[in-house]
Amino acid sequence: MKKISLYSLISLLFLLATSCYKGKGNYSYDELNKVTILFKDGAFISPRVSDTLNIDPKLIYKGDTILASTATETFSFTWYCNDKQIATGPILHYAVRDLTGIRPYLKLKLVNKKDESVFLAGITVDAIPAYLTGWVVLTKKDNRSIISFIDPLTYEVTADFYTTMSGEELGPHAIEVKEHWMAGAGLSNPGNLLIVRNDAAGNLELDGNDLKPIYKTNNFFLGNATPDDFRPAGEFYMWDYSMMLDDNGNIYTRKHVNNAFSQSGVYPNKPMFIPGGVKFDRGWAGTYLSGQTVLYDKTKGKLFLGSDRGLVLPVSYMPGPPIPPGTTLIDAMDKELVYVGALKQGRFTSSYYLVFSNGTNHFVQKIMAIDQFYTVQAVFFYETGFGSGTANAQSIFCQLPRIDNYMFYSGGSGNKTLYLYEHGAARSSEYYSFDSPVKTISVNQNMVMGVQTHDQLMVGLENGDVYILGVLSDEMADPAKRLKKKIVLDKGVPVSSMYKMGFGFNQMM
Amino acid sequence: MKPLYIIAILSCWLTACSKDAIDQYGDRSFIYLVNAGTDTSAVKPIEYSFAFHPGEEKDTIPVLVKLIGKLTDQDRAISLVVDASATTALASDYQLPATIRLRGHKAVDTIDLILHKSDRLKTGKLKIRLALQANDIFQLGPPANRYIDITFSDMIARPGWWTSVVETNFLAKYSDAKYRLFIEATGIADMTDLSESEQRAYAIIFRDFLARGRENGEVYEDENGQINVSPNLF
Repeated sequence: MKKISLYSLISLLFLLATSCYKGKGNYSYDELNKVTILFKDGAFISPRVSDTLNIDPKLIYKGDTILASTATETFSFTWYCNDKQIATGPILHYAVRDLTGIRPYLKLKLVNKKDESVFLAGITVDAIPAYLTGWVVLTKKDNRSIISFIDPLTYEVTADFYTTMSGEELGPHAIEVKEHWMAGAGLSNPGNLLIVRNDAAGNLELDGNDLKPIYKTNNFFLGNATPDDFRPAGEFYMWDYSMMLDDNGNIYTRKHVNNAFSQSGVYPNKPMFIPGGVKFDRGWAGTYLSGQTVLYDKTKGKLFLGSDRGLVLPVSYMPGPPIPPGTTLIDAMDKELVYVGALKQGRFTSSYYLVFSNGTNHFVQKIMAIDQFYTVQAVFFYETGFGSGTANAQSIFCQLPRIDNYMFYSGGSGNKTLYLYEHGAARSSEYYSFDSPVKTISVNQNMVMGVQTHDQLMVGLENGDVYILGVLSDEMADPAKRLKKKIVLDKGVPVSSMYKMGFGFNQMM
Repeated sequence: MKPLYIIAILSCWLTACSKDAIDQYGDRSFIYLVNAGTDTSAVKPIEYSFAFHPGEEKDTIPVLVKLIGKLTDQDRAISLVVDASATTALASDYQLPATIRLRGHKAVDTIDLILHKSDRLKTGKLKIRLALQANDIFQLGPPANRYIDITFSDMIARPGWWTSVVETNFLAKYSDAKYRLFIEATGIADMTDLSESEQRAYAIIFRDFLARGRENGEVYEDENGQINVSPNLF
């Protein structure tokens, strides 16, 4: 028995020993080469909805960097959008608007034809809506108000879009277009487009992405009833509050119930009481950040400030040494206030250039308005005459909000010339001449994700033409570089214009 | 004897089952008081205060009567009287139509009770009980709908909606005088079902009413001093 066990043990050891017999190592191996897929703009792209993607990724293969389009013999390519196959081939040529999903994820599957090895890489597409950013022009023609959108890159015109999209007319009394951001909606949400109509039908708000009508502001009065004899002359949004100005000089103030919505809360349907029988002739929106609105009582020659706590308060100078003789006093103006240009500064405290006219000459005064809750006081900087011989009663003004030094204005013979006024040097110079009177000037001082893209001016002319002018340093230095584009809009006389900045964070920078 | 008892009892039963004559629908008409045309429940008393209707020297209270029965082409007289035993108002405090009737083709009709404002109403409530009486045309409807009490005054009291939240955020401390001014300024007396935004808007209208009045020399005071809205109202 013992022998059987012994023989069995020996047999097992023998088998074990043979199993450990060393291989000769004479197999044939192929080296597996990893492929790294690179996309030109990284893993996150923001094309415009109207764009067509044209992606030819780079491949790092065997130490070389090659374009996918040159490697079709080695690899096969399959493209997916949110895991649905959309194309085959090395280059993805695909319309952005045909991608599916809110933020489509594009994936490239690359297969080595020789060894079947598979490599994957992807990019997220955050498409910019077609109307997110661009120029908006309000014109009047044949007793119609017409609103048109101009693409800031291609200058493609979407004319009369409100009537096209809504099937309704704006009516003949639209007076202003402006962008409106919701204070509590997050800075990555686009601003909506507000159309102020001096009409009993009230103002309209259009969606900032697709420009479709979403609100009629008349529906936001107490009891759904507008005040007697009510026609808007302006509407101003200041964080948690908004103010409506009518053409009787009355103000209506409301608090937003939910400031994530562009319209919430109701306006009282009786005018706000302002002591002393004050009526306002005009209002100018301060910057988004300031939460301020400048209001002007022409009859009494006084400046007021609408605050983002729903108050309307007179503005007086900070006490101290006397304001220099000859200055136009903001609480007792002896000239007409014709323009207010806001500078982008802080909340509660923001600077303004006030342009006065005595009918012959123009004066510009810089103040800083400080909202002290129950009082508003202004720091006086200086006042100086300007535009002598150039500015006139038809002049249109446009202060750059981010560069204190520059203010553009129209003037000259027939109001056909654009001038640049430099506050620092107190100097006017001719910037561009046109063949028709200037009716509107608006500015785009735009930064996208902190990158300055294209500071430009848009000038709307009485003959219906629109000019885009550059205002960057080389363009200011060289007149030949100033004209970027002339657009024959041909939609009547411009009434108001603006640059639609899009995302809320753009105007914060 | 037993069969006789049984026959007698059965006879009684049979005679007891003699058929009642049933009136056809509409042969008789009934009239009763309601609060609304669709009401079927007991009528509720009406409370009225001239304080909620500033400027009114008299006002009309609609008293609704409702028919059970067939409509007719002709007007039909209703007997609606003032129950003196349950009425504290004087005859000069109110006025009823000379003829009270249910108009032809109407199943629900309105009787106008006109109330007159007087100084007595500032300090006390007056009551009128209107009671229906059967007449040749109408019989009376449900017992709970045969009379209605109308209490009226020129007095005011803190309403339920003037809560601590409304006090803190909008209107501040309640007083009768402030409530009267609020009604005068806004034209409303009841903010029960209003949103916070609507309450705020009415409070702003009231704030501006006070400010505008003061600028014109008006004095607004109550037992708490100057009448003002909440300092938290913006």
